[in-house]
Amino acid sequence: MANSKKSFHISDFSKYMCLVSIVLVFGVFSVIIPNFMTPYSLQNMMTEAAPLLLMAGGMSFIIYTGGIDLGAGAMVSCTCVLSGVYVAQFGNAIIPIMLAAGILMGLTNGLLVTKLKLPSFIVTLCTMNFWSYIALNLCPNGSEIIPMDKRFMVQWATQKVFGIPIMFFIALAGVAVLYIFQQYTVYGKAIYGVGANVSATRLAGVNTDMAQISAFVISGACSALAGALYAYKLKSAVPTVGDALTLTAIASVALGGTSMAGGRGSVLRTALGVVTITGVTSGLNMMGVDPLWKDIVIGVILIIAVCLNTDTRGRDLIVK
Amino acid sequence: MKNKWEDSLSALSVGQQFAQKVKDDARKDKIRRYAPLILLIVMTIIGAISQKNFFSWGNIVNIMYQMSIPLVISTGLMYVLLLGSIDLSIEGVMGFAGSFVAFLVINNSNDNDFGLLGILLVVLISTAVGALTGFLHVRARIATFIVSYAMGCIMTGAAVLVYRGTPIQVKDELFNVLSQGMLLGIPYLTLIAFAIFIIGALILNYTAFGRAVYAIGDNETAAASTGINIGLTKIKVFALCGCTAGLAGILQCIRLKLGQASLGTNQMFPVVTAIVIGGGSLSGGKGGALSAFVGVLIYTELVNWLTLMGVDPYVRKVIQGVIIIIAVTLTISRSRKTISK
Repeated sequence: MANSKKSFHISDFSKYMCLVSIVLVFGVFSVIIPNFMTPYSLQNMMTEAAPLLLMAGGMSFIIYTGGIDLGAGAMVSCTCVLSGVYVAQFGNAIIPIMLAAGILMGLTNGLLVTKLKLPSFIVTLCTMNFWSYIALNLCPNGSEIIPMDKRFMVQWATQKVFGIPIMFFIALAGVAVLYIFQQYTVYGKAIYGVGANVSATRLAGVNTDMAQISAFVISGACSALAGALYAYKLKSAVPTVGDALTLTAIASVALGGTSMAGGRGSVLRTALGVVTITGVTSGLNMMGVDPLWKDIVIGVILIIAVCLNTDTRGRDLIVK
Repeated sequence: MKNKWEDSLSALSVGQQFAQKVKDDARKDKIRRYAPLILLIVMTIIGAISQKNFFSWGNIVNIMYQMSIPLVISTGLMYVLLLGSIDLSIEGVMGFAGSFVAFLVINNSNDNDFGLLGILLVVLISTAVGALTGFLHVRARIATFIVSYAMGCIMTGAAVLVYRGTPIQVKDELFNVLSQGMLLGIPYLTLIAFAIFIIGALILNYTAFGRAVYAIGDNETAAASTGINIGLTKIKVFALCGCTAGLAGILQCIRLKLGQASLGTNQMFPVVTAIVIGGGSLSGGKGGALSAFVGVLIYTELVNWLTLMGVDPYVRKVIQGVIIIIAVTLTISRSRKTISK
């Protein structure tokens, strides 16, 4: 209501926000830090970004529906622990197993949200307890290292092809699949519809419950894959690895210009958001800023990005 | 279920259908009003059976002591839930308040000695953080769960930054007195907590501001048309919630004589559960001081009992999750035209 007289709406800016911020971040840091853009540092950033790309890509779909998954980080922790503990037993078959587990977790969230008609933030806050329970129960003494003689199984993920880590290729493939799903399938379109206007979408003959559930399932699968990648990357089962990731993933989605109210956005924009956030965190790291500042910086970025994204023109709806 | 309801009424006129619906709602309301009390009685009976001296003065004081910090949190949170909003920043604010107050009073890591002034300063900062959350929500029209979530992460970060690794131990005499002192066998901490809650309850029940909170939660559009300043009321509510979260953090610091970010961990969610059990609703307009109190009491007795049964704390969290899903399912209103995604 405050800026109704302005002809330029802040929300117009959000379209270009991801590009502006990515240029800004990488420009500023490569001026300040001489070796910011060296191949070694870029490789590091790619390994950093790979699991986050998957996680934030999946989270985007939930945010398209207007929901949120506050338990995604705990899901990553849970699958990281599961794959770290059981990779010795199952070998690389653990990845499809984790995908199945992620689908199951997403399904739980989706069913609770749609069938009981609860707000997603409360459901995911509850189910978060389940995931972290599994993670902490399997790893009661902090993290557990994958035994040395089984290391050869997980070694491939951190190898590099043409100088690019294989993990990053996996993440890119994941983003590509998500993009195709979002752009060229009926369910992809239905997910946007749910976020934009549920009743209109339902009247158009779309099974909105199904669309919402599939958004949660996709996000679950992506988070699970991200968790497995973390286990491969860290070569251990870490029950707290996902704690800070929920915030980072949500901030990446918001930074990409995706509206928290749902209905618009794109996985590619989220990917750019992830690149920006990774740039910020590694830049601050290389400048020698205390890593304790990371959460504060990302939190501030999230608030600013969400402020810019919010469509202040839709005034008839009450926001709680 | 809805279809069945419609089928059975298809023969009735619109007026009769409406009357039926009103009657149904009234019945549901009645169940909702008495369910918490019945639950409280059941929990008390279970407690009395499983604990020999459940009704002894010592155990009553013990339960009062255990519920004191959740009670302080619920003071602010009940206002926020009455609006139909949520404040996920409570844990972060608590952690920050506890760490920063430990930093300001006499401690083992620096030479600060602000005493009461330090406590006041921390309460003011917490209130300002709450007000900022409310301001961002009202002005930028961001859903509260997202803005308060981000704010909570920022405050947790700030809390860790205050002590950088090693939690600060408090050496202040004032804190010693407050944590160990007793009046008539009741710890000061409990008395302070109950006083804060009673003040909050009085403001909610006997001021225009409190009435406005109910009105906004019940029907925001109608409240706006009666001339209530919706934005300002919401900002005040969030400021109040920040204030009580800060107080809860300080009390937590007094209790443990330690300032660290994890003072707030897992403190908010049980209180949401408790308020909803007590008859509050996440969609707003329902509940109040008494129901928050009953909810916190039920919850404390439940935790007391689970601990007594030797249930693992992580399992307790899972049980909490299940309880809140059930409670929210029963109480949430699905007919409102609101965005509470």
